Amino acid sequence: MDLQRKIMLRIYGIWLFRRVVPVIIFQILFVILALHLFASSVFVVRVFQSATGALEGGLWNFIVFAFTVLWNSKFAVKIEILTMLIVGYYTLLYLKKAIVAYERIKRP
Amino acid sequence: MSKKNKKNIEPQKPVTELADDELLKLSIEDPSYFGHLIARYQEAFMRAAVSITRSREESEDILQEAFTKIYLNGAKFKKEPGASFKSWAYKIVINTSFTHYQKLKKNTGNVSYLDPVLYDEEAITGEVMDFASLMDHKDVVAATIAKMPEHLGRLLRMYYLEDKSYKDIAKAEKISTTTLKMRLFRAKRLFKKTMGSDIKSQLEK
Repeated sequence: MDLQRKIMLRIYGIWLFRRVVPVIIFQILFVILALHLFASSVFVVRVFQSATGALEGGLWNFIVFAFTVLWNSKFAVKIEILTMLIVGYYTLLYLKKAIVAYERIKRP
Repeated sequence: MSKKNKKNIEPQKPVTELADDELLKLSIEDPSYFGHLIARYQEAFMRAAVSITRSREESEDILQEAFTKIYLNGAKFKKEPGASFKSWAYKIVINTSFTHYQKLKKNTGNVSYLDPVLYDEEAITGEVMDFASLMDHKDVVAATIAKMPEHLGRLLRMYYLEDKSYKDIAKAEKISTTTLKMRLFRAKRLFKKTMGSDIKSQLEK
């Protein structure tokens, strides 16, 4: 491995542990907490059973089911779901950022 | 990262036209930019490290360590008049090289031959002259040191002839270890010059 590649791997490691890992850990903890709160106010197993049933009826049925459930849920549950979706989206973006950066430094 | 944030990170100019400090700043968000800094300075820094350790293998380790330090402290670097990235980074490389050299010296005992000024491929009089043989002629060394400016000669005497540590000398001189290393480096360079002209004049006689 040439010297520049060796140095860049070190730099990537530093960047990953300084910039990405703490954020992802925080986001995962946040999602776990939100899921915990969500599970205490929603009967998750029943929702999943209904969702599976809706999926069997086709994708459109599932979308209608998801919107109906969300529309009829309590305000607090709506906020919890929205927060989880947003934080989950940012977690995925950070993971993508880490992979893209690794691909970039791998290039000669 | 949102598209808006991404736009803020993307530089306005082509990477090759970016100044070093701009690249350093960008690399904090996206480490791939640091590769351009490495490409720019790798060779120059390697030469500097090799000039101190006289070993390419050791210098590769030094460069890895030095570039890591540069990246770790990149956020603290501020471009000021008279303090460019190059000089700041160069100082880190030199300091890392000296520290590495000192460790080598401690671990392996006699590595004085690695010294860049006292041991040079273009030997002073055309013949190979290593530090070990110089130390066999302590009186010649002492005479050369005596011709040098007092403050530089004193440092060389304490370090090479009296075998004092950096710490002790820095304490005695009331200067930092970094300043001491830089002064020693200058002193050694001057030593070589003085020694060379002495030998030349003796040969002419």
